[in-house]
Amino acid sequence: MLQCHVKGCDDSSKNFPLKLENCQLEEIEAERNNEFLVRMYPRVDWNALRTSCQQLGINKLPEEAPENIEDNEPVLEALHSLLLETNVLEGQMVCNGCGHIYPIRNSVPNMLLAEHEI
Amino acid sequence: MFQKARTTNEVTVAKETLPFNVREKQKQNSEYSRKVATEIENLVYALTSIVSHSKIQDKDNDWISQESFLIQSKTVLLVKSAENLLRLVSDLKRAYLVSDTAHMLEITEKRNRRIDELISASKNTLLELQKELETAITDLKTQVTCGDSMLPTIKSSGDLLIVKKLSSREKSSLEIGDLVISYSPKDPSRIVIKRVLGMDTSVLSLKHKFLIEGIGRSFALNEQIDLIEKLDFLGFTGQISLSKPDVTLILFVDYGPLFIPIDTTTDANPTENQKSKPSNNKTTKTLKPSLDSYRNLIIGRLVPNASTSRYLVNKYNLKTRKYLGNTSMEAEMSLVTANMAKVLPGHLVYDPFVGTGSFLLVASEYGAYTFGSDIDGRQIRGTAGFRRNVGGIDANIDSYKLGHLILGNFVSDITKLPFRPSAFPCINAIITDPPYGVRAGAKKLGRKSGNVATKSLQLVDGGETPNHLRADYYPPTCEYEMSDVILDLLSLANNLLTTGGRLVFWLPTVTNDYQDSDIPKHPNLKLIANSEQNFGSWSRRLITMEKIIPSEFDIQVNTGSIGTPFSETASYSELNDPLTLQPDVPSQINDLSIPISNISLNDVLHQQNETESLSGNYVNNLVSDAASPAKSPTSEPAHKNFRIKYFNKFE
Repeated sequence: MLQCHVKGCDDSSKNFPLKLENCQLEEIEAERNNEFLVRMYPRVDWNALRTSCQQLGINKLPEEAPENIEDNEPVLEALHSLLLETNVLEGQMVCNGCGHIYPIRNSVPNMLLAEHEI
Repeated sequence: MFQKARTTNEVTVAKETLPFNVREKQKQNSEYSRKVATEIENLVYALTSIVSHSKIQDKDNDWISQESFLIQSKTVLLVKSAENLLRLVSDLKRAYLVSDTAHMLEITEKRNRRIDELISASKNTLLELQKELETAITDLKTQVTCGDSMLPTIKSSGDLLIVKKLSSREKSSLEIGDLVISYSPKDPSRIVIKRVLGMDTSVLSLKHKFLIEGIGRSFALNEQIDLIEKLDFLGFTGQISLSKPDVTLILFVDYGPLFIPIDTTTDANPTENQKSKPSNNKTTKTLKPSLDSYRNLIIGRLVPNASTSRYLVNKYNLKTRKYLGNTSMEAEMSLVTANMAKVLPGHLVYDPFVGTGSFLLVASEYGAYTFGSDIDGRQIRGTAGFRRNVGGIDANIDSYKLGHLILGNFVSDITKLPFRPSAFPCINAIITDPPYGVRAGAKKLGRKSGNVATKSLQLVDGGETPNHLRADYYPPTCEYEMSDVILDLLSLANNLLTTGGRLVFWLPTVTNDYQDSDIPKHPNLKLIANSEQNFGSWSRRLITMEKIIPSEFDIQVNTGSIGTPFSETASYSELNDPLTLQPDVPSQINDLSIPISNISLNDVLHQQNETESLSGNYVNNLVSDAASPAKSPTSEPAHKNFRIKYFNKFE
């Protein structure tokens, strides 16, 4: 969902997705809500999600974005576990365009910009 | 009187031939009778209209005392007698006609005279009735009010109401399940059919207990007993049992708004008064209303197994929270906010000023996925403030076990949100309490002086790490004007919300300066509700808006960042309506929004103000708009410089 928003860093091929580095992960168990997943699915950038997952060392997603996920049990489960159960405790997100580092501490990413970047 | 009526009814038809002038006589008679009958009818109409008028009066007092109830019953009886009279008169009228055809002119004339007497007598009776009724109604109006809806509509003694049993069984007494007709105790002109659900010997003799809920007031034990004893007339004869009641009766005592602003005269000119008599400036006191000054007294029986969500107010009580800040929203108002946003399970809810996360908790309590952001990460993580190091928002999430619904928080400035445009709109509701600068002022990134930093990668201490990469780096912030916060929030909502999604936020206003035009507008957002919580000299308003048409952002994705670029679409003044000013809005949008922008121009709230504010401000705006298109000084919203205005009152 988040992209680099440093002023001038507007090359859409590079400012998203942010590269996840040195991440500590945590699993939070949650009940699955298929309706929510189906509704959110069009908003998910599949390739970006896949790339991010690989950076986190998770390889659950098929290469091609499935067309219809409503009855696709493995994809629903994978999406649910990735989007709703995986929590990055510590780490950082790095912009591929300008190299800005957004640190994640206590599972709270800091998206503030330095003053020269506004 | 009634017997007389019967005698006239026994007029027999005489069988004689018609004399010469009989037709004329007949005509005269029928005309006369018609006249009299109309007169009487008018009287009865007047009577019934008086009764119904008294009922309109009584609508304000849903609750009437037993005495006034008796009077109402009396009016019922009076109307009843009036109706009887009317029937009598119509009988008399028939008598006229009958005698006409009977050719017994002399006898009929005699009879007619008698009928005239009767009619004038009944006219007098009616007039007396009318007087009586009027006094009764005056009495009724002066009665102290208390409830009637709980009055047993059928007393076993049965003397108050005219009750007719409908069920076929011929029994002398009423039983449960019987259908009865009676006059409605609330509206005696209406006849209602009721089924007997319980007799006073059943419900009233059960073991019972009372629960008292005060609205705007709490009660000491002896006051509660006083209140319960007032309900003596209901006739509960059963034992009181607090531990195992068979029936629980709940009494809601409504005293209206909690805060009663007093002494508002000294408030009008705070700048003048604050120096001369500063002690008078504390204008708000919570007056405890006297026990009997309630507006409404509502009593009901607790339905077994029924439950409400009222317990949530206790569950999320700030006192029981592990982590909170000094401006955390109290539980009840947080829940109300989430309700106004129509938060449902599976919704995605966002709070751009998350603070200590109150709204995330309540929205997730309702089953929504939530996330938030704040410029101050210390609040989220709980590393500053008066309850530091308990774990921040996460501590609350854990204690309420909502981790599966609260997705997370991030640190960001709402003017520079790092959202990827193609991922939006996907948010169902934005609920937030923007910082309004009394205890926690709003901040955004930037230099206080407005300077732009020139040295981008400043090095301090001769070290090799640029300043902004150090772990303890905190970018400079500057003050963020309340009115700008709200405008940015509106544009943000327009960009993030799905169509039909709601933006619900709190807006502080200075009570005396408030005008409906202070509520900011956005062509795509429709004002749903504007609810005031009054604190005396200032109040906060819960503003609910709904996104009614897709935003430009929804159609043209990937056009830039979500923050400020769109902020100019939200405005306070209708003269700055962006759709009328921007020539290059895509035609698609234009088509969609023409009716909407018309609505926003002729907004209901505005219509009230239009005459005053437009006539005054219009010229000013026209003149000043050329120079400063943003906001003319006269149309400045009350919450602009809220902090200054608010502190002016107390300094």
